[in-house]
Amino acid sequence: MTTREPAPSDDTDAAPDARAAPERLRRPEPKRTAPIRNAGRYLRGARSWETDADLGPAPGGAGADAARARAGPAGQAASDAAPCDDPVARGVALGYEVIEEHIRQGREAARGHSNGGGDGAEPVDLAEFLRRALYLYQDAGSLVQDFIEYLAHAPALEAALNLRRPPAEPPPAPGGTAQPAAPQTIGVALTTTRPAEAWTELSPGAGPFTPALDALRQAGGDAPAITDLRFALRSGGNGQMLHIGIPAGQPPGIYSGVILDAASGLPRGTACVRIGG
Amino acid sequence: MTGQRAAKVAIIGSGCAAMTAAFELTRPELAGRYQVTVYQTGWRLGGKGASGRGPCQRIEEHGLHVWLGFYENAFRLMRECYAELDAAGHPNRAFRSWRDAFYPESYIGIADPDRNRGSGHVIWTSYFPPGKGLPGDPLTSHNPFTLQGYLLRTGALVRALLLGLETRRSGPAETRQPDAELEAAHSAPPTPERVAERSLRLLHQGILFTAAGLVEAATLLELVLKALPSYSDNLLLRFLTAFSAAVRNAFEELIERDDESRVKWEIIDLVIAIVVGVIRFGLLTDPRGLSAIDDYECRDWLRLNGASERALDSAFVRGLYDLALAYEAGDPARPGLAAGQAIRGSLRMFFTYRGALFWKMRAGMGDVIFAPLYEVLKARGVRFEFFHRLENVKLADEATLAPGERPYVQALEFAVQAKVRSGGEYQPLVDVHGVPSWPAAPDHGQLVNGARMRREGWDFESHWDRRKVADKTLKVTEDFDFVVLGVSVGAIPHVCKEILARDPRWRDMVANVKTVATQAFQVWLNRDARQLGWPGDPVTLSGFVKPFDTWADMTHVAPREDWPTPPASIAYFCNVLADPQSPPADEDTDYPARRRAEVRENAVRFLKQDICHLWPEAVDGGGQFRWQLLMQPDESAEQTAGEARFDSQFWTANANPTDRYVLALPGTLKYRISPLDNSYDNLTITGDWTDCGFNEGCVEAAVMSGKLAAHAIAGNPALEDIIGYDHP
Repeated sequence: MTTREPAPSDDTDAAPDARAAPERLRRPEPKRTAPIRNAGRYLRGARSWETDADLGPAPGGAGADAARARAGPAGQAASDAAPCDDPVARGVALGYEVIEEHIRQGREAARGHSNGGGDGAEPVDLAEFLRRALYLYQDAGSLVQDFIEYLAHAPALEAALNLRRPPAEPPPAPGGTAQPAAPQTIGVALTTTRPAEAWTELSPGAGPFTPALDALRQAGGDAPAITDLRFALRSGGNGQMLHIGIPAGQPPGIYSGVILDAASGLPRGTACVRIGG
Repeated sequence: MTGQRAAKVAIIGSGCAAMTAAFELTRPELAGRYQVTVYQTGWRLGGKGASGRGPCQRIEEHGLHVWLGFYENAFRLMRECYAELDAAGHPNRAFRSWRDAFYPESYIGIADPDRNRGSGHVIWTSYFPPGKGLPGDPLTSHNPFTLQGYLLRTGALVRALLLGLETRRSGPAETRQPDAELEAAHSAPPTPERVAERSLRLLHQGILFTAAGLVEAATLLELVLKALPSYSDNLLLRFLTAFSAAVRNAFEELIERDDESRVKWEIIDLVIAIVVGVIRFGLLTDPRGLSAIDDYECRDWLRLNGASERALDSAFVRGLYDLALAYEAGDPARPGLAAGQAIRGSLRMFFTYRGALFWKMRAGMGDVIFAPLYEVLKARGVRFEFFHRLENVKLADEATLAPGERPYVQALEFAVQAKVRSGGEYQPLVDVHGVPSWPAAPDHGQLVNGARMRREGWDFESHWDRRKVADKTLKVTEDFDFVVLGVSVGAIPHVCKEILARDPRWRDMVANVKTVATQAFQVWLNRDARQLGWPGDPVTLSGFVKPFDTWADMTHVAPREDWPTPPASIAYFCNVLADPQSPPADEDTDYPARRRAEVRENAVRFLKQDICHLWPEAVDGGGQFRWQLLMQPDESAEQTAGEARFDSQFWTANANPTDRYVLALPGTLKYRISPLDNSYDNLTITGDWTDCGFNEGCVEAAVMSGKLAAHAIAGNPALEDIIGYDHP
């Protein structure tokens, strides 16, 4: 350190100190440089916001499984065992019925208003309408929550949406301890001359599968897709490695794609790459 | 990091971000791996959060500071700070814990021009219900911010907002008993059949309540359709659009005559637009989360999704813009908020607050935040070098870099503004009723030639006062290993010329991450709020007349000041200060004084013309402001009459580059650089202007950024422990 009284600039003070360079400390390489705002994080246990004390002794544990556990054994059986397609299809059908009813009633409301100005029809009770709107908003909020809760724990839909949930505890095996299946893991190797980072996220609890990924695309942009993608077994057979080659002229941004199970075609996770400027 | 010695970290600046970085890097569990020195202009810590004690030990702030109930990282930091001080048995503290230092504020108001009468204002106020837990409580999950979680809170929030809303002209708030049948049904296992059955039953109960219900049902359908590609997204959106338009048209006609109904509908209208937009823009599955719409201006995005012009111009929306000081160049005609960040901020603000929506400090922000941080950090061995103005961040010559070696900071060049007598450390705090506090002016007695500096009016905090007593250069490895650059983005062009010359990303950042000057004034009055004509409890109110659209009743800090006769009420007012056509030159030493004069003029005009809408009893029969309401600190001095009495109050023009508030304008957030960025491998930046996960100017963003800066250097704290960093 040098300290000097005001004087004409002295370049020697600020000149690089060659002796110091070899001792210079460096920051560690960051694992990532941006948030992961992954969609799979949207649908997790709502009670996870609350504190441990607030959660209380909910069966099935805290965090992402708490909401399901709160539904009790019947709900759990339904969400874990029932096939998703039938109830969901019924839900869609009923949902359309809901919409039709809404539209019908909306039209009635509009007619009621247009008739209420002076032709002797009963005047519209605004305060009552608004109260009801408010009440239903509150009630509908819980309805949607119930729906999402159900859907979030339907296995097929969960896989489709790439939901993240801690793996369920395996049932105890007769006469011994159950060994959970080794989770699938996919590492990433980047070939690029650009500042970039990449990551994968798989549905928790997914067993081994053969991954497939056709391209990484920029959401909402018109940049060309990244197609130089290749899966290979890691050395030692411990999971897979996704090799991504980024062309030199690839525009900066986030590119993402869905990792599929090549055998079933079902989504198993996502791969993302962020290319800096 | 390599080597066994403690790494020397130079932290430049002392706002929330810089102090957080210092706090994290000196945690006891890191066992002294980092030896931190803080370099700060002038005599006090705090940056934009600095405050000072003026005459009668009155608290003088840069502006109004309220902590929101979702500031999880910031509250956690202060809870740890207070706990550490308490454990150390620090004597004479008025605030032994963070709960002593903060109090929950649930009474919020918004001012709305009275459209029916064509003049004056309607004041809307609401008590927000307490949120479960307290901010900074431990969480059971790393990322609790989920759509499902938001939906859970929607009902309670909207109920509070709408049923709790009342105007001065309305009667008591409506109440409603819980629906026992629904409560019972809610505890049963959810199945699609049961939910659909309930849905239909509810639908048949009324008419207009179907508005929000439809949107919710359609939101659900969007999820279903994503899993069943045989259904078309367009079909769903068609339903949504048709229904929303029909209901809006019906309501637009119905609400013309009724203020209360209008406000209620405006909020419902905005909620519908957000839900529609989330579906239409595919935000549920976009890897960018809400950031995918950051190029849209928030109002434009809501308009795209069907929000009515009435709702977009509502007091509710204007209040949010006012709270975010979201006016480019300080021009009220140029509101600007990036849509994604605005929605993220609103969701966080209304749906995830704990304890209370707002928390107010029981003394100045400097006293409640920065004095405890200073004391904890001092006890941990952090050195503070006051009166150090950074002049240049000097990079290593590129020619000297080894192959593959990243650029790095070679030297830090400072102007030393003053030297401390006897060469020791400056002692910055004074005790006020047991609260270690920052004075509003330096203690010249501790400074070499201090008397002369005071006589000559050296302004150590002015960008335009370049006086100094010495230069100082810190060299890499010799004086520092790592640099945490915690000055505000407004100062970057002045101190990082070399980086800007070589790095287009930094140039883009400086060109696009805009800031705005702010103005504030405080008045101490000899009548309480009710005597002034305010009918309710102490309030925090926004959406009022420009330029002082935000008012906070701060009477609660009176016991922390030292008046012979305590003021009956204390009021803070603030908002943006319009920029001049061209920025002032560095040589324009008169610039701060001109801006201060401008703020004084604004404040006086405001009191004369506008305050009567909030305080009708503050004006006399002729409509003139009663200047005698203002308390003069020196009661023995000649009592000033008329407008000149305002000179005894406090006002400020925050025009320094480092004092300017950071904006979140549409299309600009992508130019922010993260503290994790390691383009310069011994330098990290920090502040609410960085890409920190919550890209809006506020304490929480600054604290998150400070934690990121510490992580960049030490790998600690873990990113998963920065609450909300991965928020969608």
